[in-house]
Amino acid sequence: MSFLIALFLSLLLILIFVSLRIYSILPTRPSTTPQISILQSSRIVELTPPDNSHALIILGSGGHTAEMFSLLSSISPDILTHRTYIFSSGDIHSAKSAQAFETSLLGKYTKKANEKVGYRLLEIPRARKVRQSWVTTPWSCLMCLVGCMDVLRGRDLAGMSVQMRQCWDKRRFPDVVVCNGPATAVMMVLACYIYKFFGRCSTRIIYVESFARVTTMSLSGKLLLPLAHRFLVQWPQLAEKYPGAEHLGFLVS
Amino acid sequence: MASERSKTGKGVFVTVGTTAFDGLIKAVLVPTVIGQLSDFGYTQIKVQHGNGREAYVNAFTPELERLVQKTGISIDGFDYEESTRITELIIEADLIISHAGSGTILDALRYQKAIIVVPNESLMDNHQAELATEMSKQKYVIQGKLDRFDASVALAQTYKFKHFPRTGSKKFVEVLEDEIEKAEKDKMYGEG
Repeated sequence: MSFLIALFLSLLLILIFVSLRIYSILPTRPSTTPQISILQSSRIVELTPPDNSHALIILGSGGHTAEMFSLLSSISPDILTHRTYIFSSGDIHSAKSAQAFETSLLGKYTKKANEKVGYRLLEIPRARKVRQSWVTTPWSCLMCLVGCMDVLRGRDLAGMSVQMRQCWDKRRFPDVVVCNGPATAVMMVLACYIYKFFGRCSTRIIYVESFARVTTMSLSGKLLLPLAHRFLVQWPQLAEKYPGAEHLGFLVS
Repeated sequence: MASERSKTGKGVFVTVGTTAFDGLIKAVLVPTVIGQLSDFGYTQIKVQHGNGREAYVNAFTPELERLVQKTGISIDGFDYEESTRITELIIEADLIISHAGSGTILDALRYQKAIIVVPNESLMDNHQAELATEMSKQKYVIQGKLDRFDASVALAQTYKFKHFPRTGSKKFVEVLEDEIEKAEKDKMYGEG
Protein backbone atom coordinates (compact mmCIF):
# COMPACT_ATOMS: atom_id res chain seq x y z
CA MET A 1 0.00 0.00 0.00
CA SER A 2 2.72 2.44 1.03
CA PHE A 3 4.47 1.53 -2.24
CA LEU A 4 1.42 2.65 -4.21
CA ILE A 5 1.29 5.93 -2.31
CA ALA A 6 4.98 6.51 -2.99
CA LEU A 7 4.45 5.76 -6.68
CA PHE A 8 1.48 8.09 -6.82
CA LEU A 9 3.38 10.89 -5.08
CA SER A 10 6.43 10.53 -7.32
CA LEU A 11 4.22 10.58 -10.43
CA LEU A 12 2.52 13.68 -9.06
CA LEU A 13 5.90 15.30 -8.47
CA ILE A 14 7.01 14.50 -12.02
CA LEU A 15 3.74 15.90 -13.37
CA ILE A 16 4.20 19.11 -11.36
CA PHE A 17 7.79 19.42 -12.54
CA VAL A 18 6.82 18.90 -16.19
CA SER A 19 3.97 21.43 -16.01
CA LEU A 20 6.17 24.00 -14.28
CA ARG A 21 8.88 23.49 -16.89
CA ILE A 22 6.38 23.91 -19.74
CA TYR A 23 4.96 26.98 -18.04
CA SER A 24 8.42 28.48 -17.70
CA ILE A 25 9.30 28.08 -21.38
CA LEU A 26 6.02 29.40 -22.77
CA PRO A 27 6.46 32.85 -24.24
CA THR A 28 5.64 35.91 -22.19
CA ARG A 29 4.54 38.35 -24.83
CA PRO A 30 4.40 42.06 -24.09
CA SER A 31 0.78 43.13 -23.86
CA THR A 32 -0.24 45.22 -26.83
CA THR A 33 -0.94 48.33 -24.76
CA PRO A 34 1.51 51.11 -25.71
CA GLN A 35 3.10 51.79 -22.29
CA ILE A 36 4.38 48.28 -21.85
CA SER A 37 5.78 48.07 -25.35
CA ILE A 38 7.82 51.23 -24.63
CA LEU A 39 9.30 49.50 -21.57
CA GLN A 40 10.03 46.51 -23.74
CA SER A 41 11.88 48.48 -26.37
CA SER A 42 13.94 50.49 -23.87
CA ARG A 43 15.22 47.21 -22.52
CA ILE A 44 16.31 46.11 -25.98
CA VAL A 45 18.32 49.27 -26.61
CA GLU A 46 20.85 48.29 -23.95
CA LEU A 47 21.77 45.11 -25.80
CA THR A 48 24.46 45.04 -28.43
CA PRO A 49 23.51 43.18 -31.56
CA PRO A 50 25.33 39.87 -32.10
CA ASP A 51 27.72 39.76 -35.05
CA ASN A 52 26.05 36.71 -36.51
CA SER A 53 22.72 34.96 -36.20
CA HIS A 54 20.75 32.02 -37.50
CA ALA A 55 17.18 32.13 -38.82
CA LEU A 56 15.19 29.06 -39.78
CA ILE A 57 12.64 29.89 -42.45
CA ILE A 58 9.71 27.57 -43.09
CA LEU A 59 8.36 27.55 -46.63
CA GLY A 60 4.84 26.40 -47.43
CA SER A 61 3.01 26.05 -50.69
CA GLY A 62 2.92 28.65 -53.49
CA GLY A 63 1.17 31.62 -51.89
CA HIS A 64 2.86 31.21 -48.51
CA THR A 65 6.30 30.96 -50.06
CA ALA A 66 5.82 34.04 -52.21
CA GLU A 67 4.68 36.01 -49.17
CA MET A 68 7.61 34.77 -47.10
CA PHE A 69 10.18 36.08 -49.58
CA SER A 70 8.31 39.36 -49.75
CA LEU A 71 8.66 39.62 -45.94
CA LEU A 72 12.36 38.78 -46.11
CA SER A 73 13.14 41.08 -49.02
CA SER A 74 14.87 43.70 -46.83
CA ILE A 75 17.09 41.46 -44.68
CA SER A 76 20.80 42.04 -44.51
CA PRO A 77 22.94 38.90 -44.97
CA ASP A 78 25.57 40.50 -42.71
CA ILE A 79 23.19 40.46 -39.73
CA LEU A 80 21.27 37.31 -40.61
CA THR A 81 24.40 35.38 -41.49
CA HIS A 82 23.05 31.81 -41.16
CA ARG A 83 19.90 30.92 -43.02
CA THR A 84 18.17 27.54 -43.08
CA TYR A 85 15.21 27.00 -45.41
CA ILE A 86 12.77 24.15 -44.88
CA PHE A 87 10.45 22.88 -47.56
CA SER A 88 8.04 19.92 -47.62
CA SER A 89 9.05 16.93 -49.69
CA GLY A 90 8.30 17.39 -53.37
CA ASP A 91 7.72 21.15 -53.17
CA ILE A 92 10.24 22.04 -55.87
CA HIS A 93 8.70 25.45 -56.41
CA SER A 94 9.60 26.54 -52.85
CA ALA A 95 13.12 25.12 -53.14
CA LYS A 96 13.68 27.03 -56.38
CA SER A 97 12.31 30.24 -54.83
CA ALA A 98 14.78 29.91 -51.96
CA GLN A 99 17.66 29.49 -54.39
CA ALA A 100 16.54 32.51 -56.38
CA PHE A 101 16.28 34.55 -53.16
CA GLU A 102 19.79 33.53 -52.09
CA THR A 103 21.13 34.58 -55.50
CA SER A 104 19.53 37.99 -54.98
CA LEU A 105 21.33 38.29 -51.63
CA LEU A 106 24.80 37.73 -53.13
CA GLY A 107 25.32 41.40 -53.96
CA LYS A 108 24.31 42.57 -50.48
CA TYR A 109 27.24 41.22 -48.47
CA THR A 110 29.77 43.67 -47.10
CA LYS A 111 31.93 41.13 -45.24
CA LYS A 112 33.59 38.40 -47.29
CA ALA A 113 33.65 36.01 -44.29
CA ASN A 114 29.84 35.94 -44.18
CA GLU A 115 29.63 34.80 -47.79
CA LYS A 116 31.46 31.59 -46.85
CA VAL A 117 28.70 30.56 -44.43
CA GLY A 118 26.31 29.81 -47.26
CA TYR A 119 22.81 28.57 -46.52
CA ARG A 120 21.02 25.31 -45.81
CA LEU A 121 18.08 24.21 -47.96
CA LEU A 122 16.50 21.11 -46.42
CA GLU A 123 13.59 18.88 -47.34
CA ILE A 124 11.45 17.31 -44.63
CA PRO A 125 8.59 14.79 -44.89
CA ARG A 126 5.10 16.23 -45.22
CA ALA A 127 2.91 16.28 -42.09
CA ARG A 128 -0.08 15.30 -44.18
CA LYS A 129 -0.46 14.86 -47.91
CA VAL A 130 -3.55 16.15 -49.68
CA ARG A 131 -6.35 13.55 -49.34
CA GLN A 132 -4.23 11.34 -47.05
CA SER A 133 -6.28 9.06 -44.79
CA TRP A 134 -6.72 10.29 -41.21
CA VAL A 135 -5.67 6.84 -39.96
CA THR A 136 -2.12 7.21 -41.26
CA THR A 137 -1.86 10.92 -40.47
CA PRO A 138 -0.47 10.50 -36.91
CA TRP A 139 2.38 8.44 -38.35
CA SER A 140 3.28 10.96 -41.07
CA CYS A 141 3.05 13.77 -38.51
CA LEU A 142 5.49 11.89 -36.31
CA MET A 143 7.88 11.43 -39.25
CA CYS A 144 7.61 15.14 -39.95
CA LEU A 145 8.35 15.91 -36.28
CA VAL A 146 11.43 13.68 -36.35
CA GLY A 147 12.54 15.46 -39.53
CA CYS A 148 12.12 18.83 -37.79
CA MET A 149 14.14 17.66 -34.77
CA ASP A 150 16.92 16.45 -37.05
CA VAL A 151 17.05 19.86 -38.70
CA LEU A 152 17.16 21.65 -35.34
CA ARG A 153 20.02 19.61 -33.95
CA GLY A 154 21.85 19.94 -37.25
CA ARG A 155 22.04 16.31 -38.27
CA ASP A 156 22.82 17.36 -41.83
CA LEU A 157 25.95 19.20 -40.64
CA ALA A 158 27.84 15.91 -40.78
CA GLY A 159 27.54 15.91 -44.57
CA MET A 160 28.95 19.43 -44.98
CA SER A 161 32.45 20.39 -46.09
CA VAL A 162 34.86 20.95 -43.17
CA GLN A 163 35.01 24.67 -43.87
CA MET A 164 31.24 25.10 -43.90
CA ARG A 165 30.78 22.91 -40.82
CA GLN A 166 33.09 25.19 -38.85
CA CYS A 167 30.83 28.12 -39.70
CA TRP A 168 27.67 26.29 -38.65
CA ASP A 169 28.79 24.32 -35.60
CA LYS A 170 28.45 27.22 -33.16
CA ARG A 171 25.11 28.30 -34.62
CA ARG A 172 23.51 24.86 -34.77
CA PHE A 173 20.20 25.85 -33.15
CA PRO A 174 18.42 28.76 -34.81
CA ASP A 175 18.00 32.05 -32.94
CA VAL A 176 14.65 32.63 -34.64
CA VAL A 177 12.13 30.50 -36.50
CA VAL A 178 10.12 32.46 -39.05
CA CYS A 179 6.88 30.93 -40.31
CA ASN A 180 3.68 32.07 -41.96
CA GLY A 181 1.15 29.29 -42.04
CA PRO A 182 1.97 25.85 -43.43
CA ALA A 183 1.23 22.74 -41.33
CA THR A 184 4.95 21.98 -41.20
CA ALA A 185 5.38 25.14 -39.12
CA VAL A 186 3.29 23.62 -36.32
CA MET A 187 5.53 20.53 -36.23
CA MET A 188 8.70 22.65 -36.28
CA VAL A 189 7.47 24.78 -33.38
CA LEU A 190 6.60 21.60 -31.47
CA ALA A 191 10.13 20.31 -32.11
CA CYS A 192 11.54 23.62 -30.81
CA TYR A 193 9.55 23.24 -27.60
CA ILE A 194 10.81 19.70 -27.09
CA TYR A 195 14.40 21.03 -27.18
CA LYS A 196 13.40 24.02 -25.05
CA PHE A 197 11.95 21.65 -22.46
CA PHE A 198 15.41 20.14 -22.01
CA GLY A 199 17.06 23.56 -22.07
CA ARG A 200 18.87 22.89 -25.34
CA CYS A 201 17.81 25.99 -27.28
CA SER A 202 16.55 29.52 -26.73
CA THR A 203 14.99 29.83 -30.18
CA ARG A 204 12.33 32.50 -30.54
CA ILE A 205 9.35 32.00 -32.83
CA ILE A 206 7.96 34.67 -35.13
CA TYR A 207 4.67 33.89 -36.80
CA VAL A 208 3.24 36.13 -39.51
CA GLU A 209 -0.38 35.56 -40.51
CA SER A 210 -0.98 35.80 -44.25
CA PHE A 211 -1.92 39.13 -45.80
CA ALA A 212 -4.96 37.32 -47.22
CA ARG A 213 -6.40 36.78 -43.71
CA VAL A 214 -8.53 39.79 -42.82
CA THR A 215 -10.99 38.62 -40.16
CA THR A 216 -10.50 34.86 -39.85
CA MET A 217 -7.36 33.18 -38.54
CA SER A 218 -5.85 30.15 -40.31
CA LEU A 219 -5.74 26.83 -38.43
CA SER A 220 -1.95 26.99 -38.04
CA GLY A 221 -2.36 30.51 -36.70
CA LYS A 222 -4.85 29.42 -34.06
CA LEU A 223 -2.57 26.57 -32.97
CA LEU A 224 0.56 28.72 -32.82
CA LEU A 225 -0.92 31.82 -31.16
CA PRO A 226 0.01 30.70 -27.60
CA LEU A 227 3.42 29.34 -28.68
CA ALA A 228 4.89 32.15 -30.78
CA HIS A 229 7.04 34.85 -29.16
CA ARG A 230 5.85 37.36 -31.73
CA PHE A 231 2.54 36.84 -33.48
CA LEU A 232 2.07 39.37 -36.25
CA VAL A 233 -1.14 39.95 -38.19
CA GLN A 234 -1.52 42.33 -41.12
CA TRP A 235 -5.09 43.50 -40.53
CA PRO A 236 -6.32 45.33 -37.39
CA GLN A 237 -9.53 43.25 -37.35
CA LEU A 238 -7.53 40.13 -36.45
CA ALA A 239 -5.57 41.86 -33.69
CA GLU A 240 -8.84 42.98 -32.10
CA LYS A 241 -10.34 39.52 -32.29
CA TYR A 242 -7.33 37.58 -30.96
CA PRO A 243 -5.56 39.04 -27.92
CA GLY A 244 -1.83 38.47 -28.20
CA ALA A 245 -1.74 39.15 -31.92
CA GLU A 246 0.21 42.26 -32.87
CA HIS A 247 -0.74 44.55 -35.75
CA LEU A 248 2.11 46.62 -37.20
CA GLY A 249 0.44 47.35 -40.54
CA PHE A 250 1.21 45.54 -43.79
CA LEU A 251 4.45 43.56 -43.64
CA VAL A 252 4.45 42.40 -47.25
CA SER A 253 5.48 44.91 -49.86
CA MET B 1 2.16 45.24 -87.55
CA ALA B 2 1.18 43.27 -84.47
CA SER B 3 4.36 44.17 -82.61
CA GLU B 4 3.94 47.84 -83.46
CA ARG B 5 0.47 47.80 -82.07
CA SER B 6 1.60 46.17 -78.83
CA LYS B 7 4.09 49.00 -78.30
CA THR B 8 1.59 51.78 -78.74
CA GLY B 9 -1.66 50.32 -77.41
CA LYS B 10 -2.51 49.45 -73.85
CA GLY B 11 -2.89 45.92 -72.52
CA VAL B 12 -5.34 44.11 -70.27
CA PHE B 13 -4.43 40.99 -68.31
CA VAL B 14 -7.28 38.81 -67.06
CA THR B 15 -6.31 36.09 -64.56
CA VAL B 16 -8.40 33.54 -62.64
CA GLY B 17 -5.69 31.74 -60.63
CA THR B 18 -5.15 28.02 -60.25
CA THR B 19 -8.76 26.80 -60.49
CA ALA B 20 -11.44 28.09 -62.86
CA PHE B 21 -13.64 31.17 -62.68
CA ASP B 22 -16.00 30.99 -65.65
CA GLY B 23 -18.18 33.81 -64.30
CA LEU B 24 -15.32 36.27 -64.68
CA ILE B 25 -14.41 35.06 -68.19
CA LYS B 26 -18.06 35.37 -69.28
CA ALA B 27 -18.37 38.85 -67.77
CA VAL B 28 -15.28 40.21 -69.53
CA LEU B 29 -15.54 38.56 -72.95
CA VAL B 30 -18.77 40.23 -74.03
CA PRO B 31 -19.15 42.75 -76.90
CA THR B 32 -20.07 45.66 -74.60
CA VAL B 33 -16.95 45.31 -72.44
CA ILE B 34 -14.58 44.52 -75.32
CA GLY B 35 -15.94 47.44 -77.36
CA GLN B 36 -15.54 49.69 -74.36
CA LEU B 37 -11.94 48.54 -73.76
CA SER B 38 -11.16 49.23 -77.41
CA ASP B 39 -12.64 52.74 -77.07
CA PHE B 40 -10.40 53.35 -74.05
CA GLY B 41 -7.35 52.54 -76.19
CA TYR B 42 -6.66 48.95 -75.18
CA THR B 43 -5.40 46.82 -78.06
CA GLN B 44 -4.35 43.59 -76.35
CA ILE B 45 -6.20 41.31 -73.99
CA LYS B 46 -4.48 38.31 -72.44
CA VAL B 47 -6.68 35.83 -70.61
CA GLN B 48 -5.39 33.20 -68.17
CA HIS B 49 -8.52 31.05 -67.89
CA GLY B 50 -7.27 28.08 -65.80
CA ASN B 51 -9.59 25.08 -66.11
CA GLY B 52 -12.15 27.25 -67.86
CA ARG B 53 -11.10 26.68 -71.49
CA GLU B 54 -14.65 25.81 -72.49
CA ALA B 55 -16.10 29.04 -71.11
CA TYR B 56 -13.33 30.96 -72.87
CA VAL B 57 -13.94 29.30 -76.26
CA ASN B 58 -17.73 29.61 -75.94
CA ALA B 59 -17.45 33.33 -75.22
CA PHE B 60 -16.47 33.95 -78.85
CA THR B 61 -19.95 34.43 -80.31
CA PRO B 62 -20.29 35.61 -83.93
CA GLU B 63 -21.09 39.06 -82.56
CA LEU B 64 -17.86 39.16 -80.54
CA GLU B 65 -15.83 37.82 -83.49
CA ARG B 66 -17.16 40.65 -85.69
CA LEU B 67 -16.25 43.21 -83.05
CA VAL B 68 -12.72 41.79 -82.74
CA GLN B 69 -12.33 42.05 -86.52
CA LYS B 70 -13.68 45.58 -86.65
CA THR B 71 -11.62 47.00 -83.78
CA GLY B 72 -8.47 44.96 -84.43
CA ILE B 73 -8.19 44.18 -80.74
CA SER B 74 -6.21 40.99 -80.06
CA ILE B 75 -7.41 38.41 -77.53
CA ASP B 76 -5.17 35.51 -76.47
CA GLY B 77 -6.08 32.79 -73.99
CA PHE B 78 -3.98 30.22 -72.12
CA ASP B 79 -4.62 27.99 -69.12
CA TYR B 80 -1.62 28.36 -66.79
CA GLU B 81 1.82 29.92 -66.58
CA GLU B 82 4.60 29.82 -63.99
CA SER B 83 4.38 32.50 -61.32
CA THR B 84 7.39 34.39 -62.69
CA ARG B 85 5.70 34.59 -66.11
CA ILE B 86 2.45 35.77 -64.47
CA THR B 87 4.41 38.59 -62.83
CA GLU B 88 5.85 39.53 -66.25
CA LEU B 89 2.35 39.61 -67.75
CA ILE B 90 1.24 41.93 -64.92
CA ILE B 91 4.18 44.24 -65.58
CA GLU B 92 3.38 44.34 -69.32
CA ALA B 93 -0.31 45.14 -68.78
CA ASP B 94 -1.96 48.45 -67.87
CA LEU B 95 -5.16 47.03 -66.40
CA ILE B 96 -5.40 43.83 -64.35
CA ILE B 97 -8.72 42.00 -64.01
CA SER B 98 -8.34 39.27 -61.44
CA HIS B 99 -9.86 36.83 -58.98
CA ALA B 100 -9.07 38.05 -55.47
CA GLY B 101 -5.88 36.00 -55.01
CA SER B 102 -3.49 37.77 -52.67
CA GLY B 103 -0.44 37.06 -54.84
CA THR B 104 -1.92 38.73 -57.93
CA ILE B 105 -3.22 41.68 -55.91
CA LEU B 106 0.20 42.27 -54.33
CA ASP B 107 2.01 41.96 -57.66
CA ALA B 108 -0.36 44.45 -59.30
CA LEU B 109 0.03 46.93 -56.43
CA ARG B 110 3.81 46.54 -56.41
CA TYR B 111 3.91 47.68 -60.04
CA GLN B 112 1.19 50.30 -59.47
CA LYS B 113 -1.30 48.88 -61.95
CA ALA B 114 -5.00 49.61 -62.11
CA ILE B 115 -6.70 46.49 -60.80
CA ILE B 116 -10.28 45.23 -60.72
CA VAL B 117 -10.81 42.21 -58.45
CA VAL B 118 -13.78 39.87 -58.33
CA PRO B 119 -13.83 37.27 -55.54
CA ASN B 120 -14.60 33.77 -56.76
CA GLU B 121 -17.74 32.98 -54.75
CA SER B 122 -17.67 29.32 -55.76
CA LEU B 123 -14.54 28.60 -53.67
CA MET B 124 -15.19 26.83 -50.38
CA ASP B 125 -12.86 28.67 -48.03
CA ASN B 126 -13.82 32.13 -49.08
CA HIS B 127 -11.58 34.53 -47.21
CA GLN B 128 -10.70 35.99 -50.62
CA ALA B 129 -13.99 37.88 -50.63
CA GLU B 130 -13.03 39.56 -47.35
CA LEU B 131 -9.67 40.58 -48.76
CA ALA B 132 -11.30 42.03 -51.89
CA THR B 133 -13.86 44.00 -49.88
CA GLU B 134 -11.29 45.36 -47.44
CA MET B 135 -8.78 46.28 -50.16
CA SER B 136 -11.47 48.09 -52.16
CA LYS B 137 -12.70 49.93 -49.05
CA GLN B 138 -9.17 51.29 -48.66
CA LYS B 139 -9.05 52.21 -52.38
CA TYR B 140 -6.12 49.98 -53.30
CA VAL B 141 -8.30 48.05 -55.77
CA ILE B 142 -11.73 48.26 -57.41
CA GLN B 143 -14.14 45.47 -56.57
CA GLY B 144 -15.80 44.51 -59.84
CA LYS B 145 -19.41 43.49 -60.26
CA LEU B 146 -20.01 40.62 -62.65
CA ASP B 147 -23.45 41.84 -63.75
CA ARG B 148 -22.22 45.39 -64.53
CA PHE B 149 -18.62 44.82 -65.53
CA ASP B 150 -18.63 47.70 -68.03
CA ALA B 151 -19.25 50.08 -65.10
CA SER B 152 -16.21 48.67 -63.26
CA VAL B 153 -14.04 49.10 -66.37
CA ALA B 154 -15.21 52.70 -66.82
CA LEU B 155 -14.49 53.44 -63.16
CA ALA B 156 -10.95 52.04 -63.48
CA GLN B 157 -10.08 54.62 -66.16
CA THR B 158 -10.37 57.60 -63.82
CA TYR B 159 -10.05 55.98 -60.39
CA LYS B 160 -7.46 57.38 -57.96
CA PHE B 161 -5.86 54.16 -56.73
CA LYS B 162 -4.11 54.49 -53.40
CA HIS B 163 -0.45 53.45 -53.45
CA PHE B 164 0.34 50.39 -51.39
CA PRO B 165 3.01 51.13 -48.72
CA ARG B 166 6.47 49.80 -49.57
CA THR B 167 7.75 49.85 -45.98
CA GLY B 168 6.35 46.46 -44.87
CA SER B 169 9.48 44.36 -45.17
CA LYS B 170 11.53 47.02 -43.32
CA LYS B 171 9.12 46.79 -40.39
CA PHE B 172 9.44 43.04 -40.46
CA VAL B 173 13.24 43.20 -40.42
CA GLU B 174 13.06 45.39 -37.28
CA VAL B 175 10.99 42.71 -35.52
CA LEU B 176 13.38 40.01 -36.74
CA GLU B 177 16.47 41.84 -35.44
CA ASP B 178 14.79 42.58 -32.09
CA GLU B 179 14.03 38.90 -31.65
CA ILE B 180 17.57 37.86 -32.59
CA GLU B 181 18.92 40.14 -29.86
CA LYS B 182 16.47 38.72 -27.33
CA ALA B 183 17.40 35.14 -28.30
CA GLU B 184 21.06 36.06 -27.75
CA LYS B 185 20.20 37.44 -24.32
CA ASP B 186 18.19 34.32 -23.43
CA LYS B 187 21.17 32.21 -24.43
CA MET B 188 23.46 34.13 -22.07
CA TYR B 189 21.17 34.46 -19.05
CA GLY B 190 18.78 31.56 -19.53
CA GLU B 191 15.06 31.84 -20.05
CA GLY B 192 12.33 32.75 -17.61
